[in-house]
Amino acid sequence: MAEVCVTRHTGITDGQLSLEPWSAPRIVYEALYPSGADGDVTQTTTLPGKLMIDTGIVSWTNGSPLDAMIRVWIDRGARQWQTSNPNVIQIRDRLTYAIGGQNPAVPDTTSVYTGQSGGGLDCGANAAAAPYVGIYSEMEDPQVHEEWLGPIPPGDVLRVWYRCYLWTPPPWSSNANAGSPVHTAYVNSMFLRLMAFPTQDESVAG
Amino acid sequence: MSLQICVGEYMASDHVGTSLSAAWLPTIRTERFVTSAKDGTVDRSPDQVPFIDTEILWTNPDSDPVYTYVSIQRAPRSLVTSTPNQLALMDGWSSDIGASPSAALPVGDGGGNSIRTMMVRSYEAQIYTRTFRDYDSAIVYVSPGAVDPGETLHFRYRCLFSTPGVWRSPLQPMHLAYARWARLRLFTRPAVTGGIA
Repeated sequence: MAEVCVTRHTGITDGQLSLEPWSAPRIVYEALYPSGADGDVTQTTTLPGKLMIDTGIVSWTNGSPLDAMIRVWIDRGARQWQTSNPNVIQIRDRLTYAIGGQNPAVPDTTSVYTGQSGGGLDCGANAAAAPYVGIYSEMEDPQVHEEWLGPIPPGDVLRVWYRCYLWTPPPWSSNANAGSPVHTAYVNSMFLRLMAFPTQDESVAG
Repeated sequence: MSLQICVGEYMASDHVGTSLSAAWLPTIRTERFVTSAKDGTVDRSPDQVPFIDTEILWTNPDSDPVYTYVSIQRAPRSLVTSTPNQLALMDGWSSDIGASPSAALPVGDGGGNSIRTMMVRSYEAQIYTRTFRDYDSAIVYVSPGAVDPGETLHFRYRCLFSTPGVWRSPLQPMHLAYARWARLRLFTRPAVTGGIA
């Protein structure tokens, strides 16, 4: 009897032909990671600085019989910061990953980083070296950073790790804003989303 | 050994089996990473100067039409300026699809980042002020459209630096612009509108 074999994107159960879940793009992981250190900022002139968000190691195992590609979206929350003349606030984050058995590197932002935002205004000091009055405030829209990882072979594990740090690039004036320093920063949160994409079943050439 | 059957669009069948075609599966087709050519100290630039200039040429190798979309991943950027001068990094892209496409030169009309602080009136003596701003990495999704089998997509992207408006020689000037890099990713999904013909 002639038979029709089907791709591994489909399955046959009790004589019924069906599509497998890995034949379509799908969300395989999503979670909101709120900041644990929002609020007042003090002198932090050494990298990487104050840890704001840490996802720990997030892992996903490819349970399908075909390679998978993963699209990572780092969905950063709206960020607000306020600095006093002449000080500057900088927020850095980094995503690390590993495919296979190993763990990703610790996402230290000292020299390599994925994103960086922040700012400030330096309008100098008077003759007595006291900084002029001046406060800089900003609110930044949420931004998405995208990574495309893979292929992840069947049964293999993808591990990702994200951290967000805040620091105050030197120098730092402790009598900023004419002796009334105001420094705050809110990174709010990061929403991590992993989307698995199908790959062609190459055993069928058509 | 399987029976080869007749299949419609976006499917494939041979003696091994019957399958979804590559054009049916939404996926990445090509990727382009490019670094900025002119990062660092900048000067007055009334006309736009390209910091990043890159393009994708991609021909649809499948037997079915696909719908293309491009993810423009911009690097984190940094601008430092002195009062009252404005610095801007603007993005622009363009696309063309056809047998031998030629996309127009992109101008900076697709968004971007810019800073300026003005501390004194233009007729007053300059004072020292520097503004520092970092902009996070961000993506923009663009949809050039459907590409028929054998047709080619030409996609161009530029990051352009300029200093709009007035320019004065500042006190202790510092003007820095870093666009760092950009990454283009071309994705496709099946070009279906409702039912498959």
